[in-house]
Amino acid sequence: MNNIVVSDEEIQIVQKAVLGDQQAFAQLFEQYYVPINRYLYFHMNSQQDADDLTDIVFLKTWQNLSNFKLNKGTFKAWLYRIAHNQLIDFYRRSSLIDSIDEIPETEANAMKPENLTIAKQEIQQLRTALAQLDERSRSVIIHRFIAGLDHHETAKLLGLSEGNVRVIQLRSLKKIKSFFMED
Amino acid sequence: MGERKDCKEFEKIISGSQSSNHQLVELKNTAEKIKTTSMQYTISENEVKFKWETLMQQIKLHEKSVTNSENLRFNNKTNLNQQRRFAMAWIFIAISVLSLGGVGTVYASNDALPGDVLYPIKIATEDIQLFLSDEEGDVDLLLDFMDERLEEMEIMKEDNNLEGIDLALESYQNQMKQITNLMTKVKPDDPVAGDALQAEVQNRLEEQAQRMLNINEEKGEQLQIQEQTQEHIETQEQLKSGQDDLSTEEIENGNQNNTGSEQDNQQPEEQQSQQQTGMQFSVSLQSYQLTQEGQFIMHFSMNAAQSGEILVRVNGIEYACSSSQSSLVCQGQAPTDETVHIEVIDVNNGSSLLDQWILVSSNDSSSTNNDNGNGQGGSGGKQH
Repeated sequence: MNNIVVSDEEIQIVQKAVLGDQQAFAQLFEQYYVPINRYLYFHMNSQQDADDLTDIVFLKTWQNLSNFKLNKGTFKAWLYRIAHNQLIDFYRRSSLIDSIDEIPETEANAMKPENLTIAKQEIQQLRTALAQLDERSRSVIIHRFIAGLDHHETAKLLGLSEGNVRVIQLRSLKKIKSFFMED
Repeated sequence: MGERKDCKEFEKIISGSQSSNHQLVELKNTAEKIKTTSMQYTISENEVKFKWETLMQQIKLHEKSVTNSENLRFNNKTNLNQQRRFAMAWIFIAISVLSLGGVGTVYASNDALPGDVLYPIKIATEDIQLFLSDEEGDVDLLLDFMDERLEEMEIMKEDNNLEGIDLALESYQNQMKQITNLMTKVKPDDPVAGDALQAEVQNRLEEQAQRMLNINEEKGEQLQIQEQTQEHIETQEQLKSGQDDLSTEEIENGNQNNTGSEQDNQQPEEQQSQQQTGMQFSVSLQSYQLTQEGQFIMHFSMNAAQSGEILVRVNGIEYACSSSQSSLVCQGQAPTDETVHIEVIDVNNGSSLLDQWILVSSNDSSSTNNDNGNGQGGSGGKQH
């Protein structure tokens, strides 16, 4: 389901972008803007914050492209690492790192679909389901099934062992399944 | 053990293998549901294109602002042209409002730190606030912004980010200059309110100076911060002398000869030197003035904040004094004697902080330094 396949074409594009080719970077931007925005959106309480942070992630990516090493992992994993770091930074600054553990259900429900540009009830339901999990479990699920990173990449990014990621993933899926069934 | 087995089997299922374990198959369906539901969250191609164009603009702007910032730092040209800053501010605000979804970006920039992409927007937003506020409001705002700069420097210090400290300090210096200029222009209708405003500014600056010293002490090597602390003390002294008896016009015109400005200018160097070397608490007499009502007003400067109680005696009579972070002001009925004996005592341990004799001429009501008992030196009387 989440096998990471990086095409030769993407490798070439990344190589060009690393050398400062703006067109190549535009292609990467087009490919990854929505996934990164989605990844941040499911992590954060506000779509506006997710949008702002996505912009910052790509600016940082452009500024640090010369540091990317193809032999040390995929561009995608590197990009998600930047996004993850920005997310941590954001919560550190807004002193919300603790409160993210407890996104209250009422708050999630209070975000009325008509007030959202992405007014999908299912999305809201998924956000509420994710809010039932603790921060680490939620991160594992988002990295595995929303960002589509593999066990190795998820484990590396979150500082966990792969075995740990597998166990957390299974337990979290059980909780989410129960939530969906109750709902 | 069972959970590990389940984990392994779940991996196979998720990779596409068939399984008779219904519970795990259902979990795979849950995972699929998460994936498909999250995919419904998307952004239109046009919006992504717009975001790309915005990013390109931001990159250009950011590169320009970094270049400007570096030039300013390395050439030590910290005094940014006000008009240019306003122009930059409007450009930043306009672009952010147009491109990044408007108010949200400006709001998000409130948390920005030096070196962050949104930091220039934060500073620009402050300039806009100042632009929209009246002069008295500007004083409050500037003090708040300067507090914010100090907070940023403290965070940067924790992160060991020297460049960040530099950036915040640069902005702090600008705001310090602005507030110094502003204080010479603000003329509240009510003189009492004017005094209160000056006292408040002085107190806030003293608090900030202390914070600056703390940053400096812990960093150890921040020469620039030391210079800023020095500038800080000078500003306080300037404000203090303004609080004594100067009209605002006189300060503006640099006409400070009636309060011994020469001494005031020398004093910060002494204070700085004491703070850097001995760190021993000391008090020195800055001025002894007589009012027409026969009252004396004495100003002392201290090289650090005194937490304990301080007692001041004038010719053996004790007086209550008001002290702040680095100054002490005493007022009372002036002795009729030409020779005045001034003692400052630390009540906690009874030690003498100052023991000084001065001569006060009855003809011209001037006070003169005669003897400096504890070797502080350099704090003679002043004409008034």
